[in-house]
Amino acid sequence: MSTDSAAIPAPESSLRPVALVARAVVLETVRRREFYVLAIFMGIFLAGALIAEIVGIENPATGTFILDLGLSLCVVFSQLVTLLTAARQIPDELEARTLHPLLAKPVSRGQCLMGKWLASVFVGVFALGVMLLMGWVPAPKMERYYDLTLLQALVLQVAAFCVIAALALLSSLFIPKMLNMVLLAIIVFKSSTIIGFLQARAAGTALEDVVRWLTGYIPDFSHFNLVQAYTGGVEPVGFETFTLRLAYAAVLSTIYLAAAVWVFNRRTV
Amino acid sequence: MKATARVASAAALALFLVSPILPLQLSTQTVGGGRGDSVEAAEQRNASAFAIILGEFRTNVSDMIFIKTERYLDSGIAYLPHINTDAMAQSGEIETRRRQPAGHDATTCTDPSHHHDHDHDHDHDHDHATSETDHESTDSVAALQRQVEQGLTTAKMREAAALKPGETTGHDHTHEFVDTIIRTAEKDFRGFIGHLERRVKPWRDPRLPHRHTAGTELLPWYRLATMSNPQFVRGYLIGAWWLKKQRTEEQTLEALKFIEEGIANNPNAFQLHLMRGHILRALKRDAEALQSFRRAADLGIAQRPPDGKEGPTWTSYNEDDITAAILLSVFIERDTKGREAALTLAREYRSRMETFPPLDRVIRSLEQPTQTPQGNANASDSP
Amino acid sequence: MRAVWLIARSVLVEAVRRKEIYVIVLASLGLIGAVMTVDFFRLEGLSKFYREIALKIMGVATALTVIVLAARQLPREFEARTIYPLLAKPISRTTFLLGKLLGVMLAAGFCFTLFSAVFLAGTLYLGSGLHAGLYAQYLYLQMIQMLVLATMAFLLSLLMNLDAAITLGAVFYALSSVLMSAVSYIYDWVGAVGKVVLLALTILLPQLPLFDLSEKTVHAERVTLGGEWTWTALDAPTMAMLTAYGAVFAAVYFGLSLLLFRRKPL
Repeated sequence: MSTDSAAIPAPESSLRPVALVARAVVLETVRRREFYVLAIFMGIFLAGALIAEIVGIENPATGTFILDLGLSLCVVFSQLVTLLTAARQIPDELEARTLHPLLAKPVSRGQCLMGKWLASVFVGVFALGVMLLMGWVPAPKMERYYDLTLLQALVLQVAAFCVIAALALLSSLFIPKMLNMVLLAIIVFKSSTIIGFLQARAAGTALEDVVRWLTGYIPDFSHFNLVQAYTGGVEPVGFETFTLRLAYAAVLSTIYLAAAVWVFNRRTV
Repeated sequence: MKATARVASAAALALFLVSPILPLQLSTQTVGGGRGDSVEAAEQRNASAFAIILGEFRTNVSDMIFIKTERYLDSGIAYLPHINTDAMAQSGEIETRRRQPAGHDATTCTDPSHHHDHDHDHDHDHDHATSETDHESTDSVAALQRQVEQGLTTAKMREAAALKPGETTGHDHTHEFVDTIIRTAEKDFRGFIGHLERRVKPWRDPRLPHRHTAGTELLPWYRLATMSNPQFVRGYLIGAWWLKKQRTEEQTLEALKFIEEGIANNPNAFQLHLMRGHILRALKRDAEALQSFRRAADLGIAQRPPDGKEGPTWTSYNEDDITAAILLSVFIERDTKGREAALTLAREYRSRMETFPPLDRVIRSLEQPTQTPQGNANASDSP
Repeated sequence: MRAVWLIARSVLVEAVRRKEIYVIVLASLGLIGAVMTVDFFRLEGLSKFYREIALKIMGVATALTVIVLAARQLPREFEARTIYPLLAKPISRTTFLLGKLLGVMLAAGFCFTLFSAVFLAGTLYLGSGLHAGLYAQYLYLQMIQMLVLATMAFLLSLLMNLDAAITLGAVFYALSSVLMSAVSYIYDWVGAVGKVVLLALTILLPQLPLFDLSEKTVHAERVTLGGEWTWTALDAPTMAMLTAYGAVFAAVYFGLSLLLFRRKPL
């Protein structure tokens, strides 16, 4: 395969192979019974619901606490599912030597990556949908919440899946699978803490602005999380803020995917 | 094709290089946690059965710190956190007992430790619009400071504030009975597993007197919490309060530095300016303290509903804080510039609010030149 | 015995060769180091925070390493078909599995040794007190916990796919204290059948928090008045009970794993 020809696929010719790869990934996910992981997470929700049923909900603040917990776990678990799916794609193909036949077909490496990215995002969205059935639908809603804030929170989560999947695909080209998963989990769930820590350390020094800029290269997933705003009864965020967050996701996803395609094209498989 | 690929690569690289602009811009557009940030909500949810079951597992840093504070002050022992700040402020007691399932009441219970006769859930709901009679609590600097402290901290925290690492409270709290989350041997159905848990985990028989330990050990947690979430206003407030309570100039200056970091990250949080004023008074920098109190008053009045009624974004604690900010501004103005200046300032504040009984009372006092406002003698009480 | 050792060594060498273990340990040490460098308001003598963070990171990082390492031992051997030449040699499946277990436990010991060296150096550097007896018991009980987790991961990896086995192992580890307190707390709220179920859960599932002495180690401090420690080391009978408790679960999980492994068609 020519690396140059595969760099940036033409839009029309690229769509069908991308869809085919994506479909294959989803089917493989089902075939390998990877929904076990989803079932485990669902079991946690069921246990939580059972406990809430037994001990009761004393006041609206507790109801909101349970709602917040349920939605936060929905977000965490579906992000985890996206991460696990994306981070496994290339290493598994390489290990099982199934990448060669795939690339022997008229599918460019760029298309292959795009298909895997799309499938990972789809799996994440599917997981989020299932989790919401378990974590949001039965949760008590005893105070005032804005539906539009919830909608914004969900859209931003899908945006977060796009970033996670792209980043996971990129890093899986450098880092061993398990290690990659651990490091990605740290970035996805703790990046805002790390950024805050670094910025606070530099605050008041000559390096303050430099550190603020450099930490901007660390993806901050807290910008995609509006769960606490929803459960706190906060009104929907303004159009500008919301669009800016989506733009942030789009920029990160584009950069990571472009870098992944670039690296993958130069890699010997 | 090669050229296209090169252009695309260059574009992606350029996008990467300038990408920090977006998070930098987003960091100025933070979204608050709404009613979840209020002290009452935090107390209610963390004292619920569901939260107790979760132990220290929390999804937000504010709740995590709340639980950590409880544990640290009791040498790691997990007592049932049925905390009510207002109740404690009024009675000095903590009402803590294991919630009982339906059907469990005074007629069926044989456990002497259960307090069936006073299930008092104070909601800190005193009506500020009609609290004319309760004015002793707001007519001196020291009293105002106490009021702010009571809204911010628990009795246990205030008690432990003066302790140094390694010190414990010297007296026994014989009036308290606080159940532990881990069951006592008599109530435990788990046999040897319960026995092992009581041995392995920090546990003391709840019937024994409590010993509280130093709260300074919590300061790193507040520091880390505000580092990871610079919008955690309460973290800045309590952290600065702990530091100020060390009563050394070095630590008070650290408290000032910490609260100023909080203000830089949350310029509109009026409570931070109020705390800054208190710290500056402790440092005897009264002119700067006055500026801080006035800034707190201005910001708070702008955020307060005109009638001062409670809602999702305005709690009774907010009302206490704004009362403190306004009255302290007026009192210090009176002490430094005289009665007329204080009266002018008080009337100016009053004109911006529909109702505010505490200020009405102070204005009436200031309007009577021969009569000293109640508590004037305490006006210069050191914080 | 020699065969067990050879297999164990290959597990350890493989874990070290893949560098994952190093990176996890180094990342964790980086976190501990970062915490140590923070100036907490120029206050001296603050040690609980450091102990809590360090012990938490130590425990979680080692547990995750053990779960991942143990869970992938058998599936990888089958997937890469490296199990066939191994079993063609005069090595029984019991020896094979014992070797794997020993290898995983050596890796856990390796992690704890590295962590401990750094933790103790940090403790000395900060000049903070540490109850040596409690810390030694903490390490010992953590190793027993790792034994339970490793055998549990073997079993899970034979029952479900690798990702599910790792996820379930990690979720059980993460939520074990919630599970323990939930069962204890809601016991009074349920009917007779519920009580039996809760009791069964308590007995049949390993109560992992029983192997975690970190809270006492963190909060043990010398009281200024009198000089005694707020918490002291556990007595010998308690340690013996905890050892036996962990050994029973490890033996059951190992036995079940062996049973499934023997029945697994090659």
